[in-house]
Amino acid sequence: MTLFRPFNVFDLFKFNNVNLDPLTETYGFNFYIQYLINWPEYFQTVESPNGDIMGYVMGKAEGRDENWHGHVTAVTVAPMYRRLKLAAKMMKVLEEISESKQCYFVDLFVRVSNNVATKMYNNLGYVVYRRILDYYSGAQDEDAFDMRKALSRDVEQKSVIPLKQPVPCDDIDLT
Amino acid sequence: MNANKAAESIIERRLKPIYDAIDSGNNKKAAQEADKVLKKHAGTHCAKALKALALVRSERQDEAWTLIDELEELDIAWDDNTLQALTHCFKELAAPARIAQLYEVACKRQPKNEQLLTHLFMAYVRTRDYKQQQKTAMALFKEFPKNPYYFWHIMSIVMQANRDPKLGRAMLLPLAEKMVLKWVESDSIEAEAEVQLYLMILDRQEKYNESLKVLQGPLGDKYLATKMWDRNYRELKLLTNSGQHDLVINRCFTLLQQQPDDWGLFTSLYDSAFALMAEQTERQSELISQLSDFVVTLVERCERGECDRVRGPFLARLHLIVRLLEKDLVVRAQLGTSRLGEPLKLLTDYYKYFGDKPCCFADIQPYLWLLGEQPQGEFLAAALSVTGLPCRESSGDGSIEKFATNVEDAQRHITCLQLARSFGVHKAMDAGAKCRLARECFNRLKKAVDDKVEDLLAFEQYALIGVQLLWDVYSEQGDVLLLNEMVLVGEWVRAVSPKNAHMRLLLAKFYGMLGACTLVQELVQSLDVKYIQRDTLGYLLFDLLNNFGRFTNAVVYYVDLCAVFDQGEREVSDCLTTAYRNGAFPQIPDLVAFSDQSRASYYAVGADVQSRYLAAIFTADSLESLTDRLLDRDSRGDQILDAVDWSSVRDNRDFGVIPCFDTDGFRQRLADEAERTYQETVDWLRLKQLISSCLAALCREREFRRAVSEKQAPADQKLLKDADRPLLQLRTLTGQLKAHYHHCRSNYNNQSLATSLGGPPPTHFSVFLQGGYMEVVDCLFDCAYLLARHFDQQSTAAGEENGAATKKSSSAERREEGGGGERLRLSDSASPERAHVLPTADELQTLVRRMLASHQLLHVGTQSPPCSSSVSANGVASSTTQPFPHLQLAHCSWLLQALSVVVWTIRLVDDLSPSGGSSKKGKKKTSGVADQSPAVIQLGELAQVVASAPAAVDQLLADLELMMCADFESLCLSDNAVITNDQELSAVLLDRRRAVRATMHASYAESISEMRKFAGKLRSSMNKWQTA
Repeated sequence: MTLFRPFNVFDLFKFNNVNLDPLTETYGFNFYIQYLINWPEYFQTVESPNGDIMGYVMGKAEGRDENWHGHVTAVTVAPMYRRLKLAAKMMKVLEEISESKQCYFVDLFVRVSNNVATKMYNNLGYVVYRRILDYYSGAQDEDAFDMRKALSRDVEQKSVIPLKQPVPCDDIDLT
Repeated sequence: MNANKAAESIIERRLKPIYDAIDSGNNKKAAQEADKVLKKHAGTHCAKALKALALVRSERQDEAWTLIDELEELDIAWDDNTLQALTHCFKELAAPARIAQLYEVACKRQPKNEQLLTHLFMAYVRTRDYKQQQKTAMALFKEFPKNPYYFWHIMSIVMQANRDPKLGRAMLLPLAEKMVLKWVESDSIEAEAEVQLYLMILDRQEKYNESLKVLQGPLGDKYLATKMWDRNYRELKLLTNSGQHDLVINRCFTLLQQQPDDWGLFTSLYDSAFALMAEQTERQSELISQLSDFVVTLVERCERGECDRVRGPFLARLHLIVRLLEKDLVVRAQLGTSRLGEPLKLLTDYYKYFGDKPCCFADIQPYLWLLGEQPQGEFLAAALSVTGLPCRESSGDGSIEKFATNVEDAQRHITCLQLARSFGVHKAMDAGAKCRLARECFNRLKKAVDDKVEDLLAFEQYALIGVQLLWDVYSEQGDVLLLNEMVLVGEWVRAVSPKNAHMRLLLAKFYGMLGACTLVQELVQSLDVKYIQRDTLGYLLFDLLNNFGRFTNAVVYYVDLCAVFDQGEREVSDCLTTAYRNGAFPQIPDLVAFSDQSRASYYAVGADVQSRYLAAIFTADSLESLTDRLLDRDSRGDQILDAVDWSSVRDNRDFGVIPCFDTDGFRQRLADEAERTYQETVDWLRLKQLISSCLAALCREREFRRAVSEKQAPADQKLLKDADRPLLQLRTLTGQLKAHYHHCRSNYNNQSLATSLGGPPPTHFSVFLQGGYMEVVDCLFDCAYLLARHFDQQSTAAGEENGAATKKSSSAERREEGGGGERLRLSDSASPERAHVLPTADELQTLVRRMLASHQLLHVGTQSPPCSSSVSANGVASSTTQPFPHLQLAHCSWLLQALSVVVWTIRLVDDLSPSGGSSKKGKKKTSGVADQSPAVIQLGELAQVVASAPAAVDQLLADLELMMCADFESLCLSDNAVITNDQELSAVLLDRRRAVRATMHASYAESISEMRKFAGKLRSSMNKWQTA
């Protein structure tokens, strides 16, 4: 039983049950609020009837022409609310919004080591479009998979033809 | 024109190296480059502004302010670059009001400059000055009739209505609505933002029908149709609010067929249906059967597999029962025969279908009360029969017969254990049984680890339940050894399951309770706690470093924390301006409220108080630097200093991370604990703030006296009698300190043990209050006031009578024989009602001794709560439970803090005395009489008592160090409940013990060495009075 509702800035005060997860990054105020201001429809909280934040999804629409696409910035679920296919539901919502904005595809970045997530995205129809070198910085830099799923506007599915060569992080155009 | 452009580009070229250096973060170079430019072209004001910015960013605020002042004194029209640079300076100096001032001046010079007016509007957004916002937006719109300015104007009115809801409803919101309507009627609406604002204004006036019309009308279609993903929900809410319940019900029925897991839809459905039942009682039974049929049909479809088996319909059925029972619309006893069904069966079914989900317990917890007591057992038995695993400890040797073999079974079993706990099964167990069951839980995780199970998520919860059981025993007995064992378990889980955040969070709490600062800092770092988490999870570190003697680290921590809050405020303000620019009106009220709540955090206020207090007493090295720190000369932003409105501070801590499975009043208990620790911290902060303020008053008095004596003008003598004298403030402040301390003593006379595993750590405030530290501080402040007053009157008299008749002065002083030695009686014309008897050195000595020995009265357990104020004659407690070592460390830390305060007090008073202070050296020779006076002699005696105390603390610390080296293990890490010698598990845990012991020892050793360093500093600071 889940309630999809717009992410509310006060959620920041109580989202630790979700964000203490080591694969969920916590950002400064600015980051969350920019999403709230610019892409409120892409920023949603999933709430349980008892008021717990079960997870949230944040994303945006960006790019020009055939690169106009929805981007998943974060999708995360608290440990207690795993194994309910919530992430899949949130992805679906995000895809629907991207469809309504007439995007060509949806993309996301994922750590190459994160097998669970990669597998899930695969199941949802995402393919590895390219590998980005040293996308994640930290104690140990890590590569990212740029995964994509074509939307109905990309009739020929051009957006998901994989690139063969990995791309250095500096070379990608993030907008 | 061309000449202008050429000049501009020359300046640009000149400034480029400065901008480049600033952009690359090289502030030192930026300042140098600016100097170069200014040397050649002194009139390049922007270079000066940029230099100021570079200085702000290199923490040289004072110098930056000087430059800014110089610039502002010029009083000329600035170019854009200079304005921007100054804006950045003010933002980063946390002085947003100055940005507004800057642009007010600029706009006065160029009242029709669109860009400047826009900047002025945004400056008011930063200071939340809605009236000025409104005025500026109107000015903009009049000159430049563009829609955004018109709607900035309206939004500024809405924000005023937010601040004053009464005036809002009566006048402001109707006005805002009228203004929008004018635009609607003239077909001038241009953007989604404008329609959103219109909806907001209508909703706030509860004009739901109108709102609905907009949403469903041409405006909604044109501007919102594709942009509002939550349009359905919003419409439903408006329909419910406007009383169109039948419509809501039908819509929800349709939508729920496709989205049967949607809680929002069920909520709308029930809200409308129950509202309708209240309005039209004749339709009650019809509606009830309609709802029941609908929800039961959904459940059956799920059960038959005609749709995904989602939790929604099952929980919605239970929820419907609860709502019907609440309104007395069904009878509990007849549920079994109703369409909805008997709760026992419904819950058992739920467990059957969803017992393997980690959220199963959380899902059904709100409905467990439906069972009643007897069926609880039946339910549990039914649930357990699915797993075939027990929920109680195995009797006897603790060997486990059967393990869950896969993740689902493990999760089902864990759900049972959680259910059992909520039914009070654990509560009924004795300590031994709890420890045995805890051991079993740990063994179940160990088995999974040994079997190399890939997904440990479910099994990790066994450890959490085990730790919860040990915590139960700990919170009943207060046995520190158990805390140590939980640490071992935590370290083990952390090693086998490094991603588990729950256990690391708990470990941080346990280490904090044990005073192992270094380890807490490491864990907080490993949890990557940052930004807003520094506030919401701040309880892990906030009190720790200063309580356990890490003064240097503590100052760094608090200063850093202040910066986090400042940065947060700056970011939100920046975002607010973006929100106006982008027309994100619906977000604005929330953002403002959020920023208010964040800024009012008691950690934000507390970090200021603590850093001022600690930086003053521990990092100052002269009376001048002490004064600087206490009067906070570095910054000119809005200062808290002596005036904090404690009633408006907020508690933003988040205790929702660690799940709890107690049903019985758990949330209330947690809330009580949070409230108590919050109050304790706030009251403790107030004590520290008052201490700082008392010291600050003495510092100000010293400055005041210097100013007067330097001028030596007769007119200035009048100032000495001024009622605003710092000295009189000191009297008021010491009065407040006494009253507040008294309030604390009577409110917190018991160190209660923390009871919630995931709740706040104890503050140790009551232990502190029993320690006699404040008595010593208070005594010295009283002396300070009396002596300073006395010296003051002496010098006034001396001034008036030209220094000839000190002995005849009104401030007669007289030493007389008292009980414990010679007493000094001073007269004080300002407060004739107060006792003017200075304590004797012997009396002070008694207070200091009592404070030094108070650690011997500390207890950890609840059985013998820390002593009342009656200290036994020899100051030695009878108990043998020594709270080694963490509370001993805290004791030393508090001793050093108290001593540091009194040492500074003595030094300040001495400086005020006729013999003290470097600037009076010359005078001293001519008035040799003064330094012989009884008051000065008495001051010397008191100082000697204080001077001998740091050595005693140093000795205490040295003893602690020795004890730890000799026998650390038996002091704090001996065997107890979990670690027994016949278990494999014990071997695993004991494996970790050596490493844990070493790191804890190292952390304690660091605290001790830091404190010894400060004890040494205090000693040398009192060298003058040090007795042999």
